[in-house]
Amino acid sequence: MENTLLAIPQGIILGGAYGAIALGLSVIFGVTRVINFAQGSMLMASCFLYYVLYENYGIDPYIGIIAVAPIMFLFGYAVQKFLVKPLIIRERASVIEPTSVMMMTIGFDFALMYLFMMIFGASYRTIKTTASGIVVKTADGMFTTTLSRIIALIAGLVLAFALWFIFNKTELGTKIRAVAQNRTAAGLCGVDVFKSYSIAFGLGVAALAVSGACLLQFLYAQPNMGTMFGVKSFMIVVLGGLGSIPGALIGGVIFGVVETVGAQLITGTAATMLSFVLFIIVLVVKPTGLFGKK
Amino acid sequence: MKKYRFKTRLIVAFLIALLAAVTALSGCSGGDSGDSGDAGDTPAGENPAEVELGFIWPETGGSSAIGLEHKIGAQKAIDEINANGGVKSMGGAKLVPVWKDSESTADVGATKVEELVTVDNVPIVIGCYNSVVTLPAAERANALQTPFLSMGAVGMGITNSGFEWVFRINNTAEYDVVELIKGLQLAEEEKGVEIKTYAVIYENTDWGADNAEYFKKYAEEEGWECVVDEPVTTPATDLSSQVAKIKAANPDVVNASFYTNDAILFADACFNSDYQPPYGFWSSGGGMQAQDFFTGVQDPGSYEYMFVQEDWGVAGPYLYDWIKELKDQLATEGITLNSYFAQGWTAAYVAYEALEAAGTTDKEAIRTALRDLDIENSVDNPSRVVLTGYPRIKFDEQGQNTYSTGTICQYQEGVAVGLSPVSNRFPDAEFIIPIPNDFASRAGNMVEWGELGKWEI
Repeated sequence: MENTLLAIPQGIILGGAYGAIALGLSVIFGVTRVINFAQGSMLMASCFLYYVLYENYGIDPYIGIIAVAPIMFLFGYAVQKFLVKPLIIRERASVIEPTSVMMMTIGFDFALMYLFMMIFGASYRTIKTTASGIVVKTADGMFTTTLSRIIALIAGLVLAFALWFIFNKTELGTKIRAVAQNRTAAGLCGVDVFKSYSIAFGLGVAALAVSGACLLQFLYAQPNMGTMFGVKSFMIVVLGGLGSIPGALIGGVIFGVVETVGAQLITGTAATMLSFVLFIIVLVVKPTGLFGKK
Repeated sequence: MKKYRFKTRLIVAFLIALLAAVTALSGCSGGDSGDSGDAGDTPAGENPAEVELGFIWPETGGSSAIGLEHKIGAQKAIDEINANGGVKSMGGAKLVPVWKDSESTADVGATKVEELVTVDNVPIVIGCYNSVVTLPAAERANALQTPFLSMGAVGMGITNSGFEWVFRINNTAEYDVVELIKGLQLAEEEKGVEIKTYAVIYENTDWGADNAEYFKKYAEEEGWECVVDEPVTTPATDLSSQVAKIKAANPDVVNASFYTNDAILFADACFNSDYQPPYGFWSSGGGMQAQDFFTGVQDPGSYEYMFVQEDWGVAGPYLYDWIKELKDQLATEGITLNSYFAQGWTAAYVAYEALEAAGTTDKEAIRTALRDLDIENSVDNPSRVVLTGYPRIKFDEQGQNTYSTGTICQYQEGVAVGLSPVSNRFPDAEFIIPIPNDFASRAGNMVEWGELGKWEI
């Protein structure tokens, strides 16, 4: 029983990291209606950038955010502008959510993964920073986590607040929300639709980059690492409500708690299965997700 | 709008061209080989200038770090064979590897076999490490009537399925576990301890589940009680919860089966929790043999005292002069001699021996040569084929090499010290059991991974 109770904070911390990664996906989908299947590889790319900064210049990933987040913002901006936009234009007469964009992001995901495989090889690369080395223990050592995981949770909360603030309290956010609600009407009102899309895409990828800085502290950089979070991120975003920023974070926490608490009572594999069953139940009962709007 | 679309297409075309250029410059494209033509079957009386060997290793995907070590080992063996005159029975024909990437994915391995046999026309295929990849690949090679040398995979089905063209050099999952159990029995006997309980934690794959099942089977025969049976969906993102569960159950021994990524997470979680079963973690290898595991863990203390079944004779550099020389040579190139390198090396050499004996690239002749192959290896009569340290390579009727023993090692002061069987033991080494509770000071007593510390020759 004690173990089961101690698994709850463990799950919240793990879920915070899940949620932070899902935030980027949620932002991109919420605005552009594009399901970015390349988000796992984009996360991986940011981890490698942090790794290079750490190995070559000794820059801690938390500091490296200053350089990597803007780079990834520009990267996301460029992907939207040069790859996504032409496809949306080509298909906009027939559909709102072009399937060719989805297919393109799948291809882009593999291209990016193999590119990094060519450059860095297949090795698992870890870093040893102050935060990754500090272990937090309570309950006679039965509850253990690292400072880096706690920071990941806090970073997820800060990131969610920052994104919420941008979208709800700034003029830029108002424009982006207008485009998200009805891009034709927003365009008629003088809002540059595709520029808003590009900014939203850039923000989503930059948010991923912030998560990457936290993740590298306790995981590793490896070209295939994106697959770990791919499906799970989509589940979390849909569970929380497509496009909902708090929904992504809370969805992540729900997944994390179900996995860790479930692992105490049943096997880890069964607990993972349970989290997907929960996802299906929520979708059936509330198709818009926990915090999604109709 | 028309102008814009044209510009966009230009930019996209440029990006694609750039990507292609990067690919070309890096020289890392898949399925690379020397530029020889297809070897095909050699007509009697004619010797080819080159013979292509088809290799399938996981160069991408979850096992890629391991597969790339296999590739280096095989390449080094081929370099040596060619430098020594190539296949002499074929007029000194040089061996040329054709590399294929299994992507660590089951169906890809079979597809690559098809490519190697029907497009590249290789006379023999070697691979694929992952059991889940190797089984369908072996099935395809068998259907195509092409000799298939399995190396690395331990799944039972590979040699239990009646394939007539498949030969496995390394041991099976069951025998891996038998070696672990024998090591545990030896530790009990030498240290005067008694094992009563155990836990199994494993990735929920063909390999991981096989290991766990056999461990439970043989542990039951010993009368040990299983207190935790924990399959883990791979790849995991955190194993702290599972470690807490095992810690609470307090088993005497933990049997862990993970590939590299999950092995790192597991070791980190155990070390962060100050968790160590009294008679140790015992693993039949997988990720816990890979270099990335040792360099990837947050604290080297997390693998200290761990028991790992190495698929090669770790005492080789002590016992064989040629292995010591090879180890030193590789060190100058920044390459570490480990079980995966050794597996790649031995696999390439066995293929060469079969070709040498066959004297032709005719597949039936190669299969016959493999069936008749008998390579003995001992300190008095060493064979450069058997870098893996097996006492002999001789295939039984099912195509299984029944002499493929490994070595149970324990990490002591950062060095994989061979302990069981006694014939593979490091000089004056003994088990450290029960495991001391010295988490805070462990790392300070350890040498860098790959160094031999006080066992330096």
